[in-house]
Amino acid sequence: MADAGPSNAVVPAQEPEVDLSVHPSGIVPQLQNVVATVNLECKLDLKNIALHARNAEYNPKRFAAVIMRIREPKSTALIFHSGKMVCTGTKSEAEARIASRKYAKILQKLSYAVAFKEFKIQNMVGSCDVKFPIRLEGLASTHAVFCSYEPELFPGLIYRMVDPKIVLLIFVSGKVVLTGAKKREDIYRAFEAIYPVLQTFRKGGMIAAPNAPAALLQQQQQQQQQPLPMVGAPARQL
Amino acid sequence: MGDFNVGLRLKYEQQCPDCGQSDFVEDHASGDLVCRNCGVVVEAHVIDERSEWRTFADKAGICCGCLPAVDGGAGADPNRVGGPVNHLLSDGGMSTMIGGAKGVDHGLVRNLQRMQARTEVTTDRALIAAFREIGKICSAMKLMDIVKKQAEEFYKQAYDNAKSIKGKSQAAVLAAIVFLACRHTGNPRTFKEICAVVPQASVKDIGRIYKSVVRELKLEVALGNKQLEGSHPHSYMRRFMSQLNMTPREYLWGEALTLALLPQEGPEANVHTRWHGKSPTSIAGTVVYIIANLPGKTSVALPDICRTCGVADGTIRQIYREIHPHLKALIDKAGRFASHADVDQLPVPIESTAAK
Repeated sequence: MADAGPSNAVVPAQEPEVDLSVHPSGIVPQLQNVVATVNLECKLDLKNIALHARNAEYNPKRFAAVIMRIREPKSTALIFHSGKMVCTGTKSEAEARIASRKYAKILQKLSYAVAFKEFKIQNMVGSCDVKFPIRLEGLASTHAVFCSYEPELFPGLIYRMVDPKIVLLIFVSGKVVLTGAKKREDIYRAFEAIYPVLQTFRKGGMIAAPNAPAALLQQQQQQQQQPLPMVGAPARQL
Repeated sequence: MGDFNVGLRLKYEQQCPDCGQSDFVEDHASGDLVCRNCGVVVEAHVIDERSEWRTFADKAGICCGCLPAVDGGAGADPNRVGGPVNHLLSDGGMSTMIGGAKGVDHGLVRNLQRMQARTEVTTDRALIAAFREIGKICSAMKLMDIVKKQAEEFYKQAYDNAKSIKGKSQAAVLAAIVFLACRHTGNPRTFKEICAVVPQASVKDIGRIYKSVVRELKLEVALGNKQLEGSHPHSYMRRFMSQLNMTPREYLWGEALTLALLPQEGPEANVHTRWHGKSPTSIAGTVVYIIANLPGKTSVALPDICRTCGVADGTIRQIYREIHPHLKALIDKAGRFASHADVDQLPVPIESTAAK
């Protein structure tokens, strides 16, 4: 149980046991989306599929594929005329495989001679929270080669890590989104690589409420009072 | 003749043959180089290597160095030396074209012009057209020549090396290059300002092309600090405030307030605030709003601020709501240009009604 290891099982965030040999930071990024492709090796008649399958939409003027959805595992598939299929929306690799097989089964029931070849995970997206605010300008200036920070365009800093080849979106609040991975281990490795860097650019804490005696300088205790008594604004989570 | 460097023609390297001094004066009207000490004319008929004169007496049409001179009319002024050398073009930007004269057979002139057009280098034509557009954008935004030259250089580099700009809309590419040049020379402009001048390109396109050009030309390190300047509202305060006709003293207050809001160095840089990470134009707009509403300062209407800064009024109100509780402390840090009583007279921010 405690051995969370580099396996394919889903590790929920609430579980208190985090394997520190795999995740030295103590934080495990959660997978939010897995995109997989599979070749069904059979020419498909999209109009026919759209008519006979449930939860299928087909609008050839907008997009040349049937969009099919299933409830368990909750996912969406794009099915093309050539027999290739893209399955998105699942939360893990195993779910992606199960979902793809279900779609193949649906097409099989519509009497198409489908195979299940070349199943490949193309992209995995994970997210996590380091729980402290980050000084993005400092990070952008020090790691200029990897970072792109344009607050006018996007509030997050885009960090393109070279090894593993992952793109991280880092926000001021401390939330991090990792994407572009083909394997779960890449996401974990990338996060462990960036965690010490983020700690270097950690901010002290939230600005004190104006009625506090030391108006602007910061103490650690202030961090707990995250929703400060400010005029009206609800605590914004990114 | 005194000994001088033939290549350079710098008057300061020459020595007067009579008195041996090197103190010269160029008389541009007559093209003479005169020794200030003894009055000897050291050189006559000096060729002016600056950009060409324009003699408006000519009625034949425009010649600005890069466009062909139309067949000259009877009063055509023959004093044309062409445009300044542009090293970015493969042949230096030679602008000599065939022109007719009175009595010359027009058919012959047209044939010769056609022949010449065939020898023209095609890559240059695209570059020349792009440079002309860049010039238009820069003059519309009243940018200095140095920015224009930098933009032309970047465009040439991108044109040769970066595959990413091929196939993108020309307007967006040029806008991104101008944006890059502005940032590189230390005169950052916001995306929205450039978008206002180049309406065919959207902010999203310009941003995307800008990022890919920076990545392909490996300019991240060269841009370095300038990227930070571009993302701090400090750089935009003066321009926005002067467009709104505020006084120079208010510019200083505005800049000081932005530095107090978003300190870059020192222990306060480590404090996290609710307005960190917001777009610099939004913060700039809010600061303008604050200063404009202080009693006794130039009053500006909110819609004008929104239009100049390119920010929605809801955004300004929201950021104002976040900043308002801390205003007194911030203004104190920014040099106390307004008393606490003044701050109390500022409009109270509206409580947020919509749930997030």
